[in-house]
Amino acid sequence: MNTANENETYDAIVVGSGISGGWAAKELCENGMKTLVLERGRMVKHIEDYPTMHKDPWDFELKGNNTVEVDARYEKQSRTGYVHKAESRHFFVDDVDHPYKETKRFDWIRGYHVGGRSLVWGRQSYRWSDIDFEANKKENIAIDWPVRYNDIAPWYDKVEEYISVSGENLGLEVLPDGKFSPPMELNCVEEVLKKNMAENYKDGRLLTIGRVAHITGSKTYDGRSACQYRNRCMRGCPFGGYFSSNSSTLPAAERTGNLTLRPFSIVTEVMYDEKTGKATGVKVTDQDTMEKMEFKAKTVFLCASAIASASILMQSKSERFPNGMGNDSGELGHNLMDHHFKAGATAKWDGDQDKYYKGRRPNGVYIPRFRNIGGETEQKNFKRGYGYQGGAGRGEYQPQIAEAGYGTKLKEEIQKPGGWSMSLMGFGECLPYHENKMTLDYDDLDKWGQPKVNFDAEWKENEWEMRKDMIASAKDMLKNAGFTDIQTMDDPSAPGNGIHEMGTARMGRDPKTSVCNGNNQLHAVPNVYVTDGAFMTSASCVNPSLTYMAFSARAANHAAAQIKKEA
Amino acid sequence: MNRRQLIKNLGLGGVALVATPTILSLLQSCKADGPVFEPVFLSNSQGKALRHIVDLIIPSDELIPGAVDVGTHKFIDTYWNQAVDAEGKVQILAGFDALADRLQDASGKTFEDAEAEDYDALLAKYLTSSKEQETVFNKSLGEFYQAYRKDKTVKIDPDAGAFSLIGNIRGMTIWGWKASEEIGENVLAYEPIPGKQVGCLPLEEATGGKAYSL
Repeated sequence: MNTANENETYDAIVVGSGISGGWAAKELCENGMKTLVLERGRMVKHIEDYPTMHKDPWDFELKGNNTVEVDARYEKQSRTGYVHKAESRHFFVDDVDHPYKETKRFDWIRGYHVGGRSLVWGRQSYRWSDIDFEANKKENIAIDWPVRYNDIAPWYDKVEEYISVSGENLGLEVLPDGKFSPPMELNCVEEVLKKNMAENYKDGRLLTIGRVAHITGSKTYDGRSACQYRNRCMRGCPFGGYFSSNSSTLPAAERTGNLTLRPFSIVTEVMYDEKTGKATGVKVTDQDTMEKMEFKAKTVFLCASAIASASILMQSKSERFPNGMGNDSGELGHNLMDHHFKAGATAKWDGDQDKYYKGRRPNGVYIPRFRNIGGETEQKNFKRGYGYQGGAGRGEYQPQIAEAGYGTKLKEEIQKPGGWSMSLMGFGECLPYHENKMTLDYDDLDKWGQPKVNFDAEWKENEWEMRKDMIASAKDMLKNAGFTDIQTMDDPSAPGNGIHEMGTARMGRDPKTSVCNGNNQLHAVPNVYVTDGAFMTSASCVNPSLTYMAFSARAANHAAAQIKKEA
Repeated sequence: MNRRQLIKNLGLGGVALVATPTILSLLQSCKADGPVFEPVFLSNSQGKALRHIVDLIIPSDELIPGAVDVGTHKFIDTYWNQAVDAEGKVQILAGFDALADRLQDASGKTFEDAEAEDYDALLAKYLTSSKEQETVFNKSLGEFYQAYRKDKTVKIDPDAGAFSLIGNIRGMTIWGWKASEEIGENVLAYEPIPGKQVGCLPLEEATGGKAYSL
């Protein structure tokens, strides 16, 4: 690996090594660009640095739970209910060391290390459709996207083929088909619901297996092998069965010889040259030594996450940009979105007690959006829509266990699989609201002297109304299919909990109302690209990472062409 | 010598045991003199009570270790010590006070001198009670927690307190036993690297009727 050099002018600096930064680095390097990737956290090497990847529950003290003292350090990360556990907490920030502020509660769940959240993501990978790209314009909400599906479709193709997305093509307008590896299998109870939905609903709704960034089938991928169905993805995968920057894009970038990766590098500011009207590089504070450095480049890619990239731009002040680089519109930090979820239903299934499954499928079922996509699907009470994720399984629940009381009979019963239960949880689109925002508090600094982020965002009426339908429809589908003991679920938690934060440097056609253009460049500083969740102009209801990757790859190729042209 | 080791030494592991009275009494005596358990969170006498209860919830037999064999009582004590916050600890200790009260009431004994059959009677009462009785216990528990939120000095009704503690121990025992190495690897269906995924197949074919441990 090359060593970062303050005297060199790189073709490109990529800030952040997560799912967007990894793609930007790979594409830039493969285009011959000398690229410096700056990661604020520590190094995580593929396989070598996955300390829990082979641990069984009994290998963890407290069987994977934390001591009270450890839990206290993950006060905000633990709002998810899972990321802070012993199997994965080393890939999430310590909230004591990395504080932020909340005018309103916001769950900022993140990891500071090479690979970022690409190591721990949910891996669900869905394309946007023109229903998503056109919605703002049609409904006169916020601003129009400057791109349409056809602009991004080839990049979805490229990303899916490179990372491997397992799934099933359905020919739906709302959820475009992709270049998929073979789908994983539904289990027998999921098949029951699928069949019943096809018979009971005439509005086109259907159930499919989740589209997930895992290698299935026989195609080979550099340095990665097929998913082994261990379902321990959040710990890092020794097989490279799922896609991460660490297993895939960063090694690809490194193979070109054009990559320099510097961990422990907190980017505090993008430097600006008033004469040329361009960025010249970035300022860095070393996380450990506090040493201050400057690195120069022809192009800067901000891939630090929606919140961090917006923060860096806000701090990049100059005469030209007194309110932060690229912030002529005043939209920087605004229009903060996430998906609202944890609304739906769970139920029991009394049949198929003699059936089971094999392998721990790291994936669930998916019910694509079926509301507000034309005709009888239009809703009076809310705009946009939601998709369901969930699945069936034989877990701990077992009526016989409750009845068995204690002793020999209990001992027998708990050796058998539990009864079947099924859950359907909606993931809903959140509209872009100008007043949902993050700001920086310069009166309250963290230990690196950086202003703390303050959040002020909330769900509003459209989200609340949509949730009612997410709950009612889930209940209805389970009831119609003959499930029993249906329990509704409704935990709105707070924005951020979906870990899909986006929108803080949105894309648009007009510099007066948006921060980036349709190529992910800052309108006002064309050699700065923002390709993480910050650029999103609306949220769709599908998981966003695949879209970040596609836009990152597209933007990196755009940038490489610009650099070559100017050379 | 622990019971598991004894079975191994007798060459009986994995073989259906024809229990002669001698062997049976040998096994039983082992149990009574089992290694002394020195709790880190509970007092020694509370630890004795926990060990008895855990042993009754998932008892040992000739083929499959019970909860005490795999150290579930130690796990529960350690877990309470390390993973439960101060307020939760107070509740657990209040539960033991309630249990001591009920034990005294039912058998005239203390944690120090009570035997398995004394706890068996309490477990029968709290773990195999009728739905109606359960509702009464739960209602009483609910009322206590409401009052407790306002006034931390409120005492729990002994029946509700014992019911709650024993239910808690039961859940922890099931978890601790199933998630122990011995049970997870050798008793339940253990597949650390499944290698493939099959959506639906007969239970018999999949695991011979066992649950997966992972």
